[in-house]
Amino acid sequence: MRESGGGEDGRATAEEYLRLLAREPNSLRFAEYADRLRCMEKLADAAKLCEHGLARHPTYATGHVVMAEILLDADMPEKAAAELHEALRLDPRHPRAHLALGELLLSRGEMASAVAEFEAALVYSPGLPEAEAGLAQARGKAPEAHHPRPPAAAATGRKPGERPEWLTADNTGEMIDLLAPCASVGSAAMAGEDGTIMAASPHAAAAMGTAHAEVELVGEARSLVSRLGAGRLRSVLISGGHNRALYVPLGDLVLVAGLRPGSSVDEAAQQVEAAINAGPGVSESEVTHGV
Amino acid sequence: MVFERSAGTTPTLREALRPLLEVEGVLGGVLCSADGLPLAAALKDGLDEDGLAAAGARLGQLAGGCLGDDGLEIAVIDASRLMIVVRPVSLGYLTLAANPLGEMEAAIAAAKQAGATLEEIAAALATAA
Repeated sequence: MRESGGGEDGRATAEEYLRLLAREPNSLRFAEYADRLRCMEKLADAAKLCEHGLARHPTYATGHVVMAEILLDADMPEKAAAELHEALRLDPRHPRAHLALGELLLSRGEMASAVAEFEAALVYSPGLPEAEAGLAQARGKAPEAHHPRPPAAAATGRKPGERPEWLTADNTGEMIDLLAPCASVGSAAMAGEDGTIMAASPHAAAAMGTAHAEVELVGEARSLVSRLGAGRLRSVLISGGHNRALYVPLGDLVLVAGLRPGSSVDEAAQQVEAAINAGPGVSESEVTHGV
Repeated sequence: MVFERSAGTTPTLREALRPLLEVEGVLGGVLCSADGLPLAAALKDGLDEDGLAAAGARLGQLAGGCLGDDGLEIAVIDASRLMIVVRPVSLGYLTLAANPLGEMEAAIAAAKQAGATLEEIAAALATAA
């Protein structure tokens, strides 16, 4: 399983759990600690801790839900689905299990089943924002009907924030070329994890020396989003004076897109996402129309 | 969004945030100091007031650093389960939480309007003091 970041915090969390276990051998709080490790992207440690807890408490539904979320983060959807079905067998009223299953079904394009799961989540936890959002999307009544912003996972299998398969450190210039026809984007640059500019459009090359501050902002936003349980970072938009820029995390790379004055930020985000998902070889009209 | 207040009284900061809950797709807002201490909030159930306040202040500071002399007007953090809009105000930062599938433009407009109301209140409080 993927492991990145949170090393010291991860160790501290695991050690804290071991101390708790020494005091309270039958504690159910393993799920909470495993979830914390998951949020730190310490997936192997999170899975190990959760497995250990579930071995002692196999009928604890929340433990199975946390295990499912760890497996989803590790791109193991089939095993995650099995954990969610087990959680719902143990507790058919578990809103988080219904929510996670709804999101899984949504990513597979099984809209009718996803609707049923989101509705069930809302029955047992009225007003749950993630379930409302998922339900709106699954029913096709979400605001993206006007400005389609499909989750990358549903459209291409790429999760928000992940690097597309076609993009490597050696072809970052392709990303700049893909954005050239976008009406909302005036300049573009690709930055590495250390803030070095790897490729840039002529205007961006003239305006930017490095992108240290931008890369730091995206890294911090990704971390804070995870800590808030807000899912995965899709993009960061900043605006001030005459400048508006969209930063899109692509694995360990960051795309910096300067927006044209007067352009719609929603359309810009849509065009950038379409270009990333389309990859090289796409026609100009496909990118400009966000198909 | 229309802000209502009783005649002759200065509305509270929380009253200024409450109309956000009526905006379609908006889940509420938190006003925090520049170092992330929550000052007032109006949020739907299930949202983490302290976490949003801390996140808003940190992201506001970093986003401001990216813009240099221009100064930050607005920042939008678009995540798969939540959209977060950060608006600097004289008291610190207004952090707005919104539906992740909604339009950024609508959330930005709501944050700007709430921010303007907060500025009115801050000015009234400063005058009263």
